[in-house]
Parts: sequence; C-alpha cells; structure tokens
Amino acid sequence: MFRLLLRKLFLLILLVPLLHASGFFYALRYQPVHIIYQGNLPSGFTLDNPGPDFSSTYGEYLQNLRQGDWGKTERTPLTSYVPRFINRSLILTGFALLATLGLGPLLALLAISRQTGRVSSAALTVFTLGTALPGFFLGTLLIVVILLATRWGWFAKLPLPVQGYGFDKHLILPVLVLAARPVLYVAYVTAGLLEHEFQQDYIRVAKGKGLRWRQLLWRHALPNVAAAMITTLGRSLQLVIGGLVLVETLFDWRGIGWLMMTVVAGRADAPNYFNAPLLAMLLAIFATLLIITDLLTTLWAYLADPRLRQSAAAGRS
Amino acid sequence: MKSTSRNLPLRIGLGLSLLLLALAVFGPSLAAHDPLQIYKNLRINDRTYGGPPLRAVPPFETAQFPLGVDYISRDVLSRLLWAVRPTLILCGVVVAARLAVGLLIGMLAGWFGRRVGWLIDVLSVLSGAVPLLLVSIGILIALDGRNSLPIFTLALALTGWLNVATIVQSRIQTVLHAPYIESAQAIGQRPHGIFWRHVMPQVWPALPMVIAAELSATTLLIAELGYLGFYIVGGYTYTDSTRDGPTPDIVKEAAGQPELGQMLSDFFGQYNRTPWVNIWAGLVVVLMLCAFTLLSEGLRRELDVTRPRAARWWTWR
Repeated sequence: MFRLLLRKLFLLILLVPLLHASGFFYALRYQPVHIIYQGNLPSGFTLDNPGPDFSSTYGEYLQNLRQGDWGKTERTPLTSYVPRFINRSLILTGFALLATLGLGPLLALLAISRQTGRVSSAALTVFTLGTALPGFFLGTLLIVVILLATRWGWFAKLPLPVQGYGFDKHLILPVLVLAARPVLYVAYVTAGLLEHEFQQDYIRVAKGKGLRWRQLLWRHALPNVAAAMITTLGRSLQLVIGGLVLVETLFDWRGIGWLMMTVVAGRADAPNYFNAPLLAMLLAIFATLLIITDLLTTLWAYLADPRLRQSAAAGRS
Repeated sequence: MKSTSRNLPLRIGLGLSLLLLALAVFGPSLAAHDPLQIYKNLRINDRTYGGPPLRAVPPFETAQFPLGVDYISRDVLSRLLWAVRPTLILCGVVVAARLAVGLLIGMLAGWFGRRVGWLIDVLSVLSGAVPLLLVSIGILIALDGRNSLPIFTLALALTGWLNVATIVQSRIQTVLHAPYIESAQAIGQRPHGIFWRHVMPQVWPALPMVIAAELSATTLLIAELGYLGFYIVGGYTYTDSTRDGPTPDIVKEAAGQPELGQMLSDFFGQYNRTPWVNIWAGLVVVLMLCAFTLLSEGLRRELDVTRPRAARWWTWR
C-alpha cells in the first residue's frame, strides 16, 4: 500500500514540474501573435515560429526561481498576486465539498426503500438526469430569472447577488451551481452501491435475525461500501475542481478558474493574456490540487476498508 | 415495487433520441425562416423592433417569431431547428473517435495484462491531473481549430477515450479469470480464437451503454465549450462596444451557421437585450442530455442481472 502511495507521490513530484514546463512552452509558442501585434512583431517573434526561444526563456525563468522570483504580472510579483485568487477558489470549493459530503449520501439514503433495499426508480431517474444537467445552464437560468423578476418589480432589489465575490450571500448561487452535479453524482453512485449491498445474502441473514434497518445500514452495509464511497467522493471533488472554470466565469467569482480564462481567452491587450509564468503556475496549481485529492482519497479509502489492507499485505497493491 | 419491470428510462431515452434524430434530419425543412436572415426593421403590434439599437422581439410576442429573435435579429426557432444537426454530427463523430480509440486500447490492455495495462494507469492519472475542459480549450487554441471539424474532434476525443478503455479492459480482465478460458486453452484453442469467441462476446453487450454515456458526456463538453466561446461554426466578427460583461471581453463573433454551442455563447453580451436565446438553446441541450443519459441508464438497467424481469415471450434462438 505504501508503495501505491509512494508511487502517487512520485507522480505528483514528476508531473507538476512537467506540466509547469508544458504550460510555459504553450504560452510562449501558441500565443495568437497575429491578433495582437497586427504585423508589428516584436523581437524574437516570427510568423513561422512565433514566440521567443523556449529553452533560453525557461532557463532564465528557473534562474530567477532560485532567487524566489516566480514571475510578474504587470509589476506585481506572482507570489503576492495569485494567493488571493487561490483563497477565493478554495472557499468556493470548500463549501461545495461540504454540500457534496452532506447532501450526496443523504439523498442516496432517502432513495432506498427500507423493505426491499432497492432504489426507487423515480429517484434513480432524478439522479441520472441530475448528473447530466449542465451546471452553467442552471446558473444562467437562475440569473435570468432573478434579473427579470427584479426588473418586473417582484422584488424591490436583487434578492440574491448574481455576480462577484463576497463571503456572504454571494456564495449561495455559485455553490449551488458548482455542487449540483457532484451531489447528484455521489447520490447516484452511493445509491447503486448500497442497493447492491442490500441484495447480498448476509443482509438477508441479518434481517432474518431481526436487526432493524438502522443497524443493517450502519453496521453492515455502510462499512462494506465505505471504500467505494470514498473513492466516489474523491472523484466528485475532482469534478468540483474541474467545474471551477465555468462557474467562476459565470458568476465573476475571481478565483483560479476565472484567472485561467483571462489568461487563455481574455482580452488580448490585458497584461495577463498568455502570461507564461502565470499560465504555468495556474496549470501546476490545478494539477497539484487534483493529484493531492486523489492521494488523500486513496489514503482515506485504505484506512476505512480492512480488505484493502489485506490485499495489500498479500502483495497485490 | 412492481415485480415486472418496464424499463422506463430506456423507453423514454430511446424515444427522445429518435426525436432528436428526426429533428436533426428534418429540422431544417420545418424551419419557417432562413436562419441567417436578419430582420432589420419590424413593426409588430405598433412597436418597432430590429437590430441592435432597437429592441429585439421577445418570445411569445408574435406568431411570426414564436421564440423571439436573437441579438442581431434572426429568428430563434429557425436557428434552433437548424442547429441540432451540426451539434449531433459533431457529437457522433467525437463519440465514434473515442469509441474506436478506447476499444482498441482497452482490448490491447485487457488481453496483454500488466505489460500494456500500466499505460492506461499512467494515462488515467495524467488525465486526472488536468481538468478536461482546460485540455480541450488548450488544444483548440493551439491548433486554431475553431472552425474545423477534424481539430475539434481531436481536441474532444483525445481526452475522453480513457473511460471506454477502462471499461473494456476491466471486462476483459474479468472474463480472462474464468475457468472456461482455461478449459478452452486445454482443448487447444488458439489465443486468437479464445479472444474472438469467448472474450469479446462478453464485451459487446456493454458497449451500447458506454456509447450512450459517452454521447451524454460529449454533449455536455460541447455545450460547455460553446458557452465559453469555443464553437465549431465559422462566422463574421462584429465589434460590440458595450462593456457590461464581466467575462473577458472577446471580440464578438456572430456565427453564420447556427449551432447549439454558438447559441449558448456570450451570455453576458446578450442578457440585457436578448436573454432568452441562451435559455432556449440551453433547453435543447438539456433535452439532448436527458435523452442520452436516460438511454444509458436504461441500458445499464438491462445489463443488471439482479433486476426483476417479466418472462420474455421471445428468445434469442
């Protein structure tokens, strides 16, 4: 097992610098030069090979890194510019994660019938439809409804803020939109897992012995599905992080997803546009977050399920 | 719980999918207006409507434009009817590509075991490290593939085949551990024969479910990319001088050909004047997603052996 964890840690250490370098290379090589410069190409750019030479620029960047200079955006060093954005994204992700952890399994439990242990068809359909719902459509719908309702005079002023960052009511809509799909995904998978468990023979024996539903659930079914459920929670967190780009762009929540969009698809004369150190750093941040999520999920699943420890001891990890 | 089991998701999913197919084939002939026709000056119910300085015709106002007009005053209903076809074509092509690549690699990995399987493990960690959306956007910008089907297909298919490959690989691995494979070897069957006679027939039944799930995921990705401004049809640019959008201000493109991704894009540029375009396009996308997701859920239920079924009046042989 530790070999598995070590392998993942190793992958983290290997992958993040690789992605950083790739991001740097991408920003230098693929910057749409012709749009910005309209024929007045600065030195180092040609139309055949737009962009300064990668190895010398990256080498210079690494030298500066040793002195603690991670690059700049318009005179602000990145080390003081980016953390603000990371904080905002972490707030959003944190609340979405809380919602997923709380609501997901709860919805799954509500969907299972106590007599047969099967998930109700209707609930399963709701879950599958929910995983298919595009979050940003829900967001645009809510925004339009709120704006129109205010314009038509149903509310004196906007009932919920539809744009911008704030550690108050501003959180409601973005977290709702960000967490919608992961919650339903977790509910769907958990319901499927629990349904499968409740069909097993040992549950039948336990019911025959007279155990009540609550005991069946907490003592027998849940510990057996714990590992799979934790893996699903981890994957849903990865979904949340992946959805950051769209939700932050929609709600003008200036986190790393929003920053990524400005760097890659923003105004061409903005200082952030295709800023190589910034793009590389953002890519590295995304990768780190996702890989650490994966690592922690594996660790937690291992701790929760003794069967994994057994199979690891048997040498199959 | 009923003891028979009409597979409702399957029926509804199939029905909706056939409806969408019919829309894709016959939609353009049902459209009342030319989707590219700009209505510059209209006089309806004693009010003047038209292009950007004037008001836009809202939905349900007149029978001539049942769903209203879009930002530069083209009929939304006709555009929607025309838009389903390119989106479904793109979806179909991408899913076919993902399926082909995923099937091939899954077969190789499943059959040859650890020697090839580690590749899939590494690639799945790699693909888990960067959000799918970002990779697609990156490829689209790098290869400037906004208006070309092959590059769009490459961008979307490059990142999604892993799911198919994993499913195929795990199925093959499960089958290979069965005792009848050993007995087939014992009676002298060649590996080639074992593969095509015993192993693969267990994989084919799972494929329709995988296809439907991939269709759903691809449609979602296309919609998200379209929302962010990366859609496949070309168009002409017009600059919009309003700066009310908090999203990075991209030079506005009024796409020539209608396509669902295009109709979803640029929400903030439009919401003051024509917020309904996004909503209608979003509803059609939700319809597509519901169709494919219900289809995949229905097919998954068909594969579930623990589901109670009514006796069939027909048999395979």
